[in-house]
Amino acid sequence: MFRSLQWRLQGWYALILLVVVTSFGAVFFTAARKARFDEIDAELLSAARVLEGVLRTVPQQRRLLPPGPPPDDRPPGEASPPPFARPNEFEPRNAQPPGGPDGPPPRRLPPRPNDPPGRRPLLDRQTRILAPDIFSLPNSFRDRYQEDGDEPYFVVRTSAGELIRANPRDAATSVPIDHTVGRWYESHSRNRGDLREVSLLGPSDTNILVGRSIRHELDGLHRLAWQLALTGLGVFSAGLLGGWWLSSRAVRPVVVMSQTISEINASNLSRRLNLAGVDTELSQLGLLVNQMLDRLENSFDQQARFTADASHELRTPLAIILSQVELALARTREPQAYRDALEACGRAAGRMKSLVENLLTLARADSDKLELRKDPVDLAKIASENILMLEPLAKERDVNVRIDAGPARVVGDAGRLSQVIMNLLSNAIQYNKPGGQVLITTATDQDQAILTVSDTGAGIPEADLPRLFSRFHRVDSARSRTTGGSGLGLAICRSIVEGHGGTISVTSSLDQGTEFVVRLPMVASV
Amino acid sequence: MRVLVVEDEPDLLSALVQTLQEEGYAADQAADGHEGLFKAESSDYEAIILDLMLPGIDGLEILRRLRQQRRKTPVLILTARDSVNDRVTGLDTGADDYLIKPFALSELLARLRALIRRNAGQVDPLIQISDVVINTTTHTVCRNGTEVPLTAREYALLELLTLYRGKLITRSMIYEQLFGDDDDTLSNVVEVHVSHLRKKLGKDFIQTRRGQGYQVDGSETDDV
Repeated sequence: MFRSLQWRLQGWYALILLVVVTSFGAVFFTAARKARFDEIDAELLSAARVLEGVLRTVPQQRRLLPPGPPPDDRPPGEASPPPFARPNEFEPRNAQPPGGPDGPPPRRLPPRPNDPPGRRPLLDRQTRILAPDIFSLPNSFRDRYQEDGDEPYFVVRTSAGELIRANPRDAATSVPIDHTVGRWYESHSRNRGDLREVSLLGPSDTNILVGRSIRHELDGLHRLAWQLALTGLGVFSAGLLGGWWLSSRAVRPVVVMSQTISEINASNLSRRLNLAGVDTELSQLGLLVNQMLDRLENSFDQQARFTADASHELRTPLAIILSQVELALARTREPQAYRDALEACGRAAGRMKSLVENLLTLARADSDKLELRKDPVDLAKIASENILMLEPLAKERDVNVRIDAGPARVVGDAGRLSQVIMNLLSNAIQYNKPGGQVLITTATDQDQAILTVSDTGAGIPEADLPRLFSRFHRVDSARSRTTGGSGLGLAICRSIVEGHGGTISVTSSLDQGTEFVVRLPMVASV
Repeated sequence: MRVLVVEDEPDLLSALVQTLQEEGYAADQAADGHEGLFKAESSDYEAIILDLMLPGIDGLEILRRLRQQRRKTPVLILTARDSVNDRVTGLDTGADDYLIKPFALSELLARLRALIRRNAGQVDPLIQISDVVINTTTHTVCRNGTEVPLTAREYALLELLTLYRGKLITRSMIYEQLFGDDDDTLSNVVEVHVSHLRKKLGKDFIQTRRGQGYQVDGSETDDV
């Protein structure tokens, strides 16, 4: 069952559907996840940028502080936004725009300080010394994610891993440094459990890491994943059902057709496929099957008719033999009675023999196994011989046979061609009227040898002419009994002539006579 | 019993006719359709054995014409055509039985007996009249349990009279049924056969209707 077309179709369909649904779900989920993480990263990054800004101000403040008051009146604890932003001193350092609407306000980054050679600010010391409170995340950021005790945290280290500042303090020990930053990227984000962390390369080789819990987001993504899986499962199942419906719809005509075909055998060859409402390709196939059945039925009918005719022809001589034997054996008889019975049996057996031979000839002709010889044959000579052989019959019927022998040489089987002429000639004599004429002519026309046999008999009704060369066809179904024919003679003639690549034709008019014309190629075409 | 055989195969025709004659039938023969139809129309046969493929007039056509003339003679078709269609056509045209060549002569004879028996309104192949039992199958006659030897002619005459028991059988009918076309018999032969039968089966077995014919009256022993 699972090897059936429908199951295979269904299998392939399910596979493709599964791939499509799964990849759609995967792409969708990945995109959603990325969008969410990008959002988170942007926030974290902008928070980190704030810390970076603070770091950057430290050495400047230190340099600037002693000579004059700080440029901003704001207390140093409120370090957001950095107090030192002066537009003319800034240039865009990073193409990446700052975070979303909830992040810190957009701002320009200070130019990368082109530190004088040999002077590296000692950030760690300075930051430790200077205004510890300015190191804090923007309040808006902190407020948003402070629920559930999951406080956003940050760690600032030197690239060597030395802690500069961390909030809360235990973050310094629990959060490992992200070494990717500084080596390949200016900033980098990573997941650590249900924590999301963004590391940023700060001024003077510092590593600023800002992180927060993304439990809610992960939960949301989890739910999304489940929703996608369930939806995908639903779509997949609906698709399978629909696919099954479609494929059974597509396969049903095939099933119906094959059922019908399997029910057709020799005894009900007249059944045909019902092609109403069948799709085009299948109806084409069905049409071909029906045409094939037509041909089969036709040849079966022909075969059946042939067999029936043959058995019919065999039945009569068989009946003679059986009844003669039964009669002879019924009681003790005179020797002459046995002799008569045996003679009758002999005649009947002779008829059966010639019938069987004729049937065999036709069977061979049908399967192209006539095995015709290819000798030079003079049709005129054969015709003369046959006239001699049939002279007693002609005398008996009071028929005058004449020959007009022209040159007619062909390449063929002398025995078979003689059989043709014998058949035509004996027909012409037997079906002639007393005192009638039979004329045989042989001649050559271009590359054909032509033999005609014409008689002055009763002629053949026009209705019989088309079937004259058919097997077992007789113009008068009973007339041949007295002349011993079986209705196969002309069929054999045609088979032999066609086996030589020639044609045989007949013209006849009632009460005038009949003429058979045999045309044979001078050089056998076979 | 006079039967007609219409068959165009000379060897088969001769075998059939000879068999029938040896069985005590008066067998007429016809070798073609015209002759067959003519004979069938001109005489009353107890049965006709008819071939279908005949020169001249087809067997079925002969049958059709006979039935159109309201002739009830049983017809047994004897043919090489064995298809169901052919058999159905033959029987529907009015044939009473259908036998396909080749056949066994014994079967043909049995069917013929059955046809004749049925046509005469007799269902039992054993006919009993007083103390005489006639077996129409084996053509033997018993009187009081002992077999009575009869010649073929005597038996044929007895069977004819007993088949139509209680009815008057005219002398011309007897001639018609007992002697075929080929038989050259004198009219007094019937009397000779009748007197032989009376000697063997009892004086009163056959009654003479003077100037009309003979009769076997089994009315008092109808309870066979």
